[in-house]
Amino acid sequence: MRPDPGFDPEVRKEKSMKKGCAGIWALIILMITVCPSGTPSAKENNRVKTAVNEESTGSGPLVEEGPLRLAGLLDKLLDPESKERKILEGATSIMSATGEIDFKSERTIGESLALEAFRRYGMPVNDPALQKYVNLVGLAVASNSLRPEIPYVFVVVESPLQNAFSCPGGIIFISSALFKTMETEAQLAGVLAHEIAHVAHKHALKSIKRARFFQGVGKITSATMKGDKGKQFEDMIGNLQNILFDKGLDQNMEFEADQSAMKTAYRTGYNPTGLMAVLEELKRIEAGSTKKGSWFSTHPPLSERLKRCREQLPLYPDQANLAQLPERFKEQKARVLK
Amino acid sequence: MKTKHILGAFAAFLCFFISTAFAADSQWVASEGAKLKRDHAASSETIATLPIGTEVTVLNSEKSWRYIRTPSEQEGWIYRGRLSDSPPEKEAAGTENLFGSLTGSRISADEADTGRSIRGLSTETEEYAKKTGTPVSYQKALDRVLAMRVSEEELVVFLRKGKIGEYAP
Repeated sequence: MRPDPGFDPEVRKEKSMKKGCAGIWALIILMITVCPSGTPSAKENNRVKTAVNEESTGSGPLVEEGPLRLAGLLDKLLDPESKERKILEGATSIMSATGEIDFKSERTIGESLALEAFRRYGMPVNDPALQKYVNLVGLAVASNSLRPEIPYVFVVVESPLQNAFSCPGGIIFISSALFKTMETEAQLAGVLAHEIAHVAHKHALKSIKRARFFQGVGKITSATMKGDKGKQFEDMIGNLQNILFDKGLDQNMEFEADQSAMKTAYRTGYNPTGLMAVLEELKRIEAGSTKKGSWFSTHPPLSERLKRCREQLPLYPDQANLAQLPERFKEQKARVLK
Repeated sequence: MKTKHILGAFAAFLCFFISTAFAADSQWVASEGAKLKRDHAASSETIATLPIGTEVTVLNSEKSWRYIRTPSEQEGWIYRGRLSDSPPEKEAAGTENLFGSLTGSRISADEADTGRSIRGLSTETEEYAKKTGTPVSYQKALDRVLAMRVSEEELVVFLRKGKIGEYAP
């Protein structure tokens, strides 16, 4: 087995298949919609067949009509102002709602959820140096994550609950209580890499893919925030709060995020067992901790997560030589403990 | 006849083994700010910064470093964590990069105003906040969180000080 794990090919295959399907469906919709001026319908086929017969009797050259119309359609598709081009863009947009949500819309969902997170968990710890440190660790791992090309931001919030969660679009929260349970930078990197993995795998978005808001809507705009759609958007954010703050994501998504987190930490150069150390500590303090709204209630049982993480260790034979950085972390922890 | 079949199968297996054992290993650049170095050390001269998605041929390895050839025939060393076994998926046009800057070549005309790093909350989020009666203090707090920026240089200094990854001794 290679000690240098790459990206999960299954995830990529799934994504590319979805994209391919969306494109095909968009084209089919377009062909159906523009049929009168493009590909002939059954009725029109009969007319063309009749025309062929007519041509044989010398009444007109309609046998060329199909290919000519198709060529005309392609010309129109290249014109950004044409009706056909707009129909295709609309169809693609609707398809993207069922497959992939564009980043701007994803971030709007994330920002709305982040506002609710302040309400639920507390405000950012008022310490710019600490916030900067967490962002440096976060970006170090994000740069080697499955999705390294979006602008992640990380924030420590004042909260007595041990929790960390990610909003779509890469806004990642960690509570001061969870920060206090850690001992090394590698542990922080592991937790942040776990949350980054949720964003990279688009786990939260997958959970709301069938939301009523996205029926007939491809992207979030000012227009979709008004009227019934606006209400449906609020319902969708409410549903996401329930998933991320109370119920938790699907257990398999959590196991997948743990696996990706170890891989990302290792690729960055942190000891990938950092995440496991945090899970061990949480297990130790579980009995005396508040469950509601914390990692204890929103994540699968710690013993099962630890078991699955241990199974990954043979992938990282040189992990003992990688960075842990307890001293640098201690300086920052002292700021939170003040 | 049976011996011939066994010999044939063995020859086929040998051919397959030799071809896979000696085939150059293709990998892809999968991290932001991946540097191609003259030698297998972070302190060595940087030959190029390789964009995400560049397919490279791995020719050799030394501990945590890989000696690679790029499509433009440049050869050098890269830290193993910067590579993956399969091509990474590209983000759509108009997305800010990891450090919050818009890269010109990937901006589509209709999304060129996505200057979140300067503007803070999106207009749609502001609309959501207004409708739900979200306190202004929460909006301001999120504005500050979104405005937090780390430059590539700051990240390099941070990794070097911590002796992390390619900066490990």
